[in-house]
Amino acid sequence: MLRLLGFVLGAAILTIAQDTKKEEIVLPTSAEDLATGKKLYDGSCQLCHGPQGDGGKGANLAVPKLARAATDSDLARIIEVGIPGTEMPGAYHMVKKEITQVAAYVKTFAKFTPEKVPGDPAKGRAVYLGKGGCQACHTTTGADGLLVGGLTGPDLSTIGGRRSAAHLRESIVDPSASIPDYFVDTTAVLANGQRINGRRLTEDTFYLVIHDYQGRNHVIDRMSAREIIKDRKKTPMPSYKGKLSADELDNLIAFLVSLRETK
Amino acid sequence: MRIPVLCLLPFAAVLAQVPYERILNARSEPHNWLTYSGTYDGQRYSALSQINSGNVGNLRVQWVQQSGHSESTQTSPIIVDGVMYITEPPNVVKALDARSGTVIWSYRKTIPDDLRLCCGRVNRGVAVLNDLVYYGSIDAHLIALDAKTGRLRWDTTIDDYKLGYSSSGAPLAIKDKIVTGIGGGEYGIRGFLDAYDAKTGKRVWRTHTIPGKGEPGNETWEGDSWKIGAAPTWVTGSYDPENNLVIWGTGNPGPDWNGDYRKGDNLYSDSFIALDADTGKLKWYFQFTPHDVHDWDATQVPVLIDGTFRGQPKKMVATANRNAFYYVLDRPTGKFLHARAYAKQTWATGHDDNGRPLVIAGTTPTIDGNLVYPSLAGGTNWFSPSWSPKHNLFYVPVREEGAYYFKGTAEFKPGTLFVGGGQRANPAEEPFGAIRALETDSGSMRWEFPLKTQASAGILSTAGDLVFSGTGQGDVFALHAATGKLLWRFKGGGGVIAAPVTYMLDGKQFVALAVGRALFVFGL
Repeated sequence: MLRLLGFVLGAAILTIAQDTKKEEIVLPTSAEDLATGKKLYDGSCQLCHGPQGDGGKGANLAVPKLARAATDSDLARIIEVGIPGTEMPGAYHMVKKEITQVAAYVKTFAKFTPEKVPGDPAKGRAVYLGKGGCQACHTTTGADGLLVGGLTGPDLSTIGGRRSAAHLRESIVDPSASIPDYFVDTTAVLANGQRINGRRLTEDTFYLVIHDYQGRNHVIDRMSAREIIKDRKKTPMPSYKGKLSADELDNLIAFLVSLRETK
Repeated sequence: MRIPVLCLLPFAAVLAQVPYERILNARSEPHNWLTYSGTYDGQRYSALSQINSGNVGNLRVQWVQQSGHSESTQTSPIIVDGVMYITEPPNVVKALDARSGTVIWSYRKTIPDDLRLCCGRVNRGVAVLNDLVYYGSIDAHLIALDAKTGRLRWDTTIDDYKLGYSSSGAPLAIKDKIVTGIGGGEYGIRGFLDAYDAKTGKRVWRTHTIPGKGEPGNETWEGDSWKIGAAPTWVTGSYDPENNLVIWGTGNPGPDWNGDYRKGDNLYSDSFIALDADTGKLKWYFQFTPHDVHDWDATQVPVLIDGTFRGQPKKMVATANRNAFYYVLDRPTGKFLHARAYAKQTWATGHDDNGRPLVIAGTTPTIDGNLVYPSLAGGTNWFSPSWSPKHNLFYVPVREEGAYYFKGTAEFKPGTLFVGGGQRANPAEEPFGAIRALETDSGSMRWEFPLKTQASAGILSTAGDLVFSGTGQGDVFALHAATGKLLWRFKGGGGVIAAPVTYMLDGKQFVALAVGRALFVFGL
C-alpha cells in the first residue's frame, strides 16, 4: 500500500526506526554474500555511486576511509536509513541480511588501488585561479574559511570527497555529459517574443524560475509563456579539451581531488 | 486527551443530528458534505453552482486553519449545518465553525511512539452519524466523539498496531454501523473490513480480504502465505443502497515485490469487494491485478454511476486503477464490462473477456531492476477521482512515470517490514502528471490538463462546470469541467495531498482543501 513520495505519496518514506537500535553489525565475507551484495548494489546503488563505487551523483565510495561511516555498523545503518537532509535514501526494501551484504560489497571498493592522480595540486591551484579561470564561476574555500568565487557553477569546496578523478576529468573535457537538474539550460519565450535564457532553478506547473547567465533571476508564468525550451546538453561550462595541456589538466584534477571537508 | 477551548462561543452553530437517512439522501442537501466522498456513490460531485466557470477567477481565501504539525494534512472535511469536522496529523480531530474557521473543540488521541507505518502518521477524515463523530486513529483504534463537545464516547481497538495494523482512512457510516478498513500492507497483516455498532463500538462483523482455510479463494495462496498476505483496505469505499452493497477496494498482496512467497492469484488482493452491508458476507469481487508484484493497490474510491454503457442504461462501478487501466464493472454483479489504459503502461497487452489482464512476459521485478510503467505509486494512487453527471466525465489525477522494480528477500517477523524488493526511478525521464477527463463508458480521454509533476491530490467536480484540484508543489486550481481550460489558480505554498470539498452557508458557497499543513477555505 505504499503511497507517494516523501510526504506520502507515494513512494513513501518508511518508518523503520524501531529496528535501528545501535548494535554492532558484523559484515559477511563469503563470496556468495559478496556476489549477492554486488547484485543488490547494481540494482539500487550504482546509479548514483557508480559501478565501481567511484561516485557520480552520489559520494565516491572507492576511498580507503568513508567520511560518514567510520565503522561497519555506521555503514550498514546509513544504507538502511539513508542520510537525512541529503539525496541518500534508506534501503527500506532490503532486509538486514541484504543490507550487510551490500555494505560488505561497498567495502570492497576501498580495496581497489586508488585511482592514480598524477598531477601536482599546488600547480593545479594555479591553473584553477589563472589560465582555467575557474573561480569566475565556481566557489572554493578561501584562506579565511569563507567561500570565494562565482555562483554560476556548482560549489567545488569539497568536490574531492564527492567525485572521482575520472568524473572530474569528464566534467572538464566534456561538461555536457552530466548536468545536474538545477543546472539545466532553459529558455523561456515570453508572449511578447522576449527570450530569457539561463539555468533552471525551480519549476512547477505554473511557474518557472530561470537564473540567467548575467546573474539575474526571472520568475516566469508558464501559462503565459509562448514556449519553454530545455537543452540538456548545453552548459555555460566550456570544454577545456585542447585548451589545457595534459600536465595542466592532471594538475587541475589533482587540485580538485585535494578539496575535501577539513573537519 | 481532549484540549478544551477556553472560551464560550456565542456564535456556535446549531449542531444538528445526522441520521442515516440524511447521508442516504445527501445529494438533496448539497450545502452540506455529510460523508467522505460527499455522497455514498463516491462521485465527489456537488450540485452547487454559485461558484462557476464565469466567476471562479474571483475566488479568494476566506480563512485558514493551521495544524501546527509536521506531517502533511490529508483530511477531507465533513460539513454539517455550519460545523466542519477535520482531522490533523498525527492524532487530532477538530470541529470548526465553517463560516469563520473558529475552533469549537479539539480532541487529541494519545498514540504510542513505536508505530509500524509505511507512509507517515496521516489521516484522511472522519465520519458522522447521529450525534457522534467517528475517527480511525493511526494506532488502529476506532473512536467515537460527541459531535457537540468532542468528548470521548467510546474507543475500540481495531487490531494490534504492534503487528503493523494502522488506520488512516475515514470510516463510512451506514445505517446503524460504522464500517472501517485497515492499513498495514507492508507488514504481513491479514487484511479485513470491519463494521461496528455505531452506539456501542462493539464489532458486528469482520470480513477478511484473504479467505481462510477451507473458504473459496484460499487456494489462490500457496501454503500458509494467506496468513500474512496483506490485502489491506486503507481508503474509504462506497455504498450502493439499492443492492445494500459496501463496495471497497483492497490493497497489495505481501510481500509486495517478491511473488515467489505467495504463488497464485492471491485473492482478494488488488480487488473491489462487494459485501452485504448488514452481514459482511461477500457478494462479488473483481480482481484488477492478479498476483500483483508491483504494489498496485486497488484502494481507489469506487465510483458508482447510473449511466449509459454502449447505448444502454447501466448501473456501473468505475475506477481508474493504480495499474494504469480505467475499468467499468457491472454494479450488481461485479462483472467486467470494459478496460482501457489512461496512463502509460508496459505490463499488459489488454484484458480477456472476463477482465483478466493479459500480462506481458518479463515484467516482473528482478534482482537487478526491471523497467516497468507505471511506477509503484501507480498511474494514479489513493487520491479521490470525481465523476460529473452533468458532463458524463470521469476525472482522474494521473502520474506518468516508470520505475526499475527489483525483488529481494523477505523475512516475516511480526510487526516488521515484509516487502521483498522495491523500485528506483528511471533517470532517463522527467516524470510528469495530469488531470485527465475520461468518457465514462469508453475511458477515452476527452481532455487533459498537464501538471509539471506527478498528480498527488484528489478532485472535486461541481455543477458550476468546475473541476478543482491541487499539485504536490503547492498550487490549487480550477479547470473548466468540459474543456480542461485553466480558470483559477492559487499558490498555497505546500504540497496538496488531499481532496477538495464544497459547501454553502448563509447563501454563500465555499471550497475547502488541505494544502501543506493547513486547511484553506475559499469563497467569492
